[in-house]
Amino acid sequence: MSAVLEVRNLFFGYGKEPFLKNICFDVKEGEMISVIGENGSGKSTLVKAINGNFKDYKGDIFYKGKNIKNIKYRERAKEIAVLYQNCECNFPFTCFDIVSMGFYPHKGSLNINNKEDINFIEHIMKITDTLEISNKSIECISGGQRQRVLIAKALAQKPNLLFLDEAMSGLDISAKIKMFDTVLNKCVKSGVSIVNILHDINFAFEKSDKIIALKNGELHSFGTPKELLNKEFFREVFNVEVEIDFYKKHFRIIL
Amino acid sequence: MENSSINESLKNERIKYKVVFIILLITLVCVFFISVSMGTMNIKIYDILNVITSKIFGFETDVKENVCAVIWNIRIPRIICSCFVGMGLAVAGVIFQGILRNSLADPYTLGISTGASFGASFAIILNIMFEIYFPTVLAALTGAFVTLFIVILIARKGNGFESSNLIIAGIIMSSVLSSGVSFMKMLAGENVGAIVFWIMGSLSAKGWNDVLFVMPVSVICTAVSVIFAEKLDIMALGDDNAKNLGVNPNKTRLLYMILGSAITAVCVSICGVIGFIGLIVPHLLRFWITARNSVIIPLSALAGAVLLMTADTFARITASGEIPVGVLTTLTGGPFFIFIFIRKKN
Repeated sequence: MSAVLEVRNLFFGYGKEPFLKNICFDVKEGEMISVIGENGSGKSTLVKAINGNFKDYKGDIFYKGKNIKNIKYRERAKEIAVLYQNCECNFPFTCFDIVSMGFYPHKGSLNINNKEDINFIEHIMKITDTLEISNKSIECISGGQRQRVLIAKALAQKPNLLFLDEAMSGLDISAKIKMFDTVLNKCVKSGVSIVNILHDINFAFEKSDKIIALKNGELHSFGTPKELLNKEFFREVFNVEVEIDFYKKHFRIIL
Repeated sequence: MENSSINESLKNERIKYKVVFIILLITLVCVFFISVSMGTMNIKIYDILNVITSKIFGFETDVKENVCAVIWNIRIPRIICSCFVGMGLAVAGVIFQGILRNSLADPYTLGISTGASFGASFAIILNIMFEIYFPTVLAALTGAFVTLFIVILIARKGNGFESSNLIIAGIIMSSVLSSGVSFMKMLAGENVGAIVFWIMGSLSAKGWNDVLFVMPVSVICTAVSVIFAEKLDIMALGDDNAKNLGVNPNKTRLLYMILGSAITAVCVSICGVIGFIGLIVPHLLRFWITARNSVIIPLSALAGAVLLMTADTFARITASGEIPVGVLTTLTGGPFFIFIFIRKKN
């Protein structure tokens, strides 16, 4: 399997001193990767550094072997989708409007949506359970529904690489499981790579292929859940003592 | 298959937009004729049609010469002017609300109007002091564009001229320039009236040359902003998301800022500050119809034209002299806005 995204010795920060220091990792095709770490450990900054079109980072980021600096906005938009943590919209766009904005990079210039495009958007809304609120204003729905609409928008972008910044935090448990098991799993099986910032450690260890743990802007560890699942790891990354409980093939981290 | 339910509802939506568009268009034409016929001299619709066709196709008319002059040289240019100014202000309102991501922004938020007022006051003062004739329109236009340029420069010093930086820069420039205007009012002494009347916003005595000035700018800027409307939609999600969808936020913002400012500068320079049209029209249409800019921009253009034409007719026909239309729109627009706001909250 070839690497979709390669991050090599990335240094990045908003001030003079770089906050992210020497980050290296690979994302392979069809991998689900979770990013975990304390608040303020640099998870969102990492996603922004990779996707924000900043010119002032040090190190190299390659997408499919190409330096990401040299890929145009429009080309990149067809390949990489990002769902940022704070997506505020002050206007009463309907949920359908928002989801169809995700399809924008695939539209020809001056082209209105044709029937097939709309059927595709409708399909995405169906699998994310947002079809019944498609006519409602984005300002008048609940936080969890809003989060699902934004996930649908990201999926409508037909990405090869999908970044989700705490996209699951507002979802109830059944929506969360459904989103993981049906929506994201299907994407991963069809070859989409997903980088997922998560706070729910149990989900992260259970559902992902690899885990990136950040600590104070540095890469603490990068490996499979099996390799990282021990008490030491949690003590170092989160400063907490945990018990790990094994049950059949599953496990549970008890705080 | 239930697969066409969205296609179906989109079709209905499109029909709804078309119906609203046609209703507004018909209203516009009706208001135009009513407005031409009303005034100190009442004119029959038949005479109006007669004069218009005769002027366009160049044949003789049997309407009396003084009536003909009132229709063709006084009322029609003024009314067409109000039509394109209203259209321009409403479209500029949509544009500024869009790029500033704030539904309370209006064409004057970036201080363009204060810049124009400053330029105009300066010209008025010079004309009085040195007894020269420097055109106030030109001075107002220069003031508006210089202000815009400075606002962009200030905003750029921050983080790649984001909307919040622009708003702050606009507010700073506005307050500095409005003290400048106050200072010039003081300098003007007993001639202060000229400045006050200029700023108050009135369409009286607008002629064909004003129409030729405001019409192309309004129409071209509106057309261009409709073409790129989808980018403006995406800007509503914020810069990070726009980048992620392949839209360059700084370029898009600059384009729309130029379009919106050009319209505003031209409107303000010929008829002063006319408030509330640019705020209320986009706001209500977005609330009632849709938030999509490709729909809102043309509808706002029509609704703005209807509104200002109506307001200016009232301003013109009030018995005791004339109320400046800018005062009228703000005086009636304010309470109306509060009414809508309270109803929306319930």
